[in-house]
Amino acid sequence: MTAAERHLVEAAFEQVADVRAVVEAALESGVSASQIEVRSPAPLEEDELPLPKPKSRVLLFALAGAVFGGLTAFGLAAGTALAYPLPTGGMSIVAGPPVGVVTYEGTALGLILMTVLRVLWEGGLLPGRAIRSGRGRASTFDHHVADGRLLLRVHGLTESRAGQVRQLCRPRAVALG
Amino acid sequence: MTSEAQRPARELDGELLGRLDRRRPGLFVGSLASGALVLVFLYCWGYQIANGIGVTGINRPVFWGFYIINFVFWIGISHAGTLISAILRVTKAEWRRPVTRSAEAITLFALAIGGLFPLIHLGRVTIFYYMIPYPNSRMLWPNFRSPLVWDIAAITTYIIGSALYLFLPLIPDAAVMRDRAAAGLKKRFYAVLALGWRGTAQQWHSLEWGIRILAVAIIPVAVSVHTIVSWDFAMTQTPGWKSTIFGPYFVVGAIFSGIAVLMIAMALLRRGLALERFLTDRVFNNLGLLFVTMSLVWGYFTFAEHLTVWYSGDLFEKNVHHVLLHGDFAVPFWTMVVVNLVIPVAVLSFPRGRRPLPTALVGCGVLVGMWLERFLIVVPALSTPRLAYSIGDYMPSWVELGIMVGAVGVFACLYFTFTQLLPIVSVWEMREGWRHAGSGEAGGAESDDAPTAVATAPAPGGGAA
Repeated sequence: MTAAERHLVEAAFEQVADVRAVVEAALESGVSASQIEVRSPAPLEEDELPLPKPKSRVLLFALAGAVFGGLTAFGLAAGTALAYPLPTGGMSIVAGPPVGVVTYEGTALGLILMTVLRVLWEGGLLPGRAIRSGRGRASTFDHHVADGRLLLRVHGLTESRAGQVRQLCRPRAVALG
Repeated sequence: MTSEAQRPARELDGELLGRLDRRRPGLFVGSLASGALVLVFLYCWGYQIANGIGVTGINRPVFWGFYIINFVFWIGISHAGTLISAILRVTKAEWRRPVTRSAEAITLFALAIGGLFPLIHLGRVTIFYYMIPYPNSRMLWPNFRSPLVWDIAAITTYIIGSALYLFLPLIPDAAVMRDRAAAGLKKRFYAVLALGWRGTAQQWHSLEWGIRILAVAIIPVAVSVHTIVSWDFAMTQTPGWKSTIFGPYFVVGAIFSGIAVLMIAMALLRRGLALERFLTDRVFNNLGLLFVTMSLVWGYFTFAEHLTVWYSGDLFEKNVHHVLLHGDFAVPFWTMVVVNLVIPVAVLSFPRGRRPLPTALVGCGVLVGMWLERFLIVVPALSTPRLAYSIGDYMPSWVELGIMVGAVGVFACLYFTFTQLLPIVSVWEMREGWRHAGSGEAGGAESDDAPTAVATAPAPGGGAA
């Protein structure tokens, strides 16, 4: 990105329909979807904005966490039974109930921990996680989102394109910067 | 810019934020009062640590007294939140939105207190880590065949799961508080909690996935916790405990007592924080219906449990049964039946009984009844053993009473502090509900829960950072 393309336009809106209209117009005028970011006070439906749908692998990681947690817990419970055997004629008893209970809880714990870690990772919320191309950075307009409005941010614009996007926003936005 | 259809939602939004920004002296006084009980709790526990477990009334043959009763009681209460909230989320009940945060906080704090009681019961609490499996020079390792170790596994999972289940949906609201707070310590506190949340599409998408998965995962964990707690009793040969239905019986009792606390907390929050327009009569009506249903289910389980014991004719079982129904424990037993079954059914069966005050009063009675239920499970069975010469009695000491009362203070203190610091009603979930109601989606069908008429002006409070 050259210095000439570092302009950012931010605008706050009351309604999703206004954001949608501006985003559609911006896309038509040649702004790339990857340059557009919408911050909202509550989750939007997938088809409310003409932007690529975000992807998530939380479920996959949750299942992997469950498998890992289950295997670890099984190893702990079964390994304990083998390492500290009951005197049963030379054979260790790996009893079902303790192994079952510990494995069950370990599976759930692995699933829960991995789910949360993945959510934080995907959202760029883990400490030290780089948030690419300025997305997710604090904005002086964030208080609008806190007050229940929608915030449209268009990154990496040339000066002329930034002016164009501002013109698109002006009739509908409650705040523009 | 705002259309007429959207205006009520915007105004309600402003009103909710205004409520959250407002200072509440009542809560501060509540925190101080409960803080005094925390001191009682700490003093009694400290006294026991210094003088040994002999300061309690626990003795042969009643080795489990108030501490284990309170352990089961608090773990039961913890089912209020995460389980109920998860079930309501999974079933997409729109009226859940103002309830979930309050319920999840109850779970976390009740669980933390419930988890303390086995440690208190240990006596020598400073060596509690002997129960944790880790390589050590003493060659000590927990006995995984003991249901008490299963408790550790289950409660650890549940408390971590509940804390994260509370925390994940809290992140967007912490960001709201961060962006509305003036610069300073408060803003920094919320900034740490918000973890850099901005409300991007990716963040919402991942969060929704996470909450959905946790809601599904936490239900079997919650059920397993109280089932395993019941196995502490049912896996023994003690008369009165050896029962195949103890697992579901405990789970039902836990949900029942959990709803009781939730009803009380919501009635207090509604009045104390003036949240009448968010914690609506409809919410109380729906929870009241759930409450009376659980009362009937609990009554059915209690009947089934005692009928099979009575019909079996087993001498030792009948001895315990006799002291419960006709003997030394008859008064608490029949009190329990009245406050857990007769009163809830009599009051909550009618719409007028499912309003905030009656439901809260019934909830108070049920809490007493459910504590008595746990008392009647633990003490009569231990004090009526198989061998007649070892029959004994149990009387709690002032230390046990102090710790029991103090634990209530610890819970109240934690809850008041949480309510003062963080939104007790989930702001973003309410906003989502208003959006759904406005667009005629899921919430539209239940739109009487999303107010459409606004008489007062918005109270935006805090304003821009």
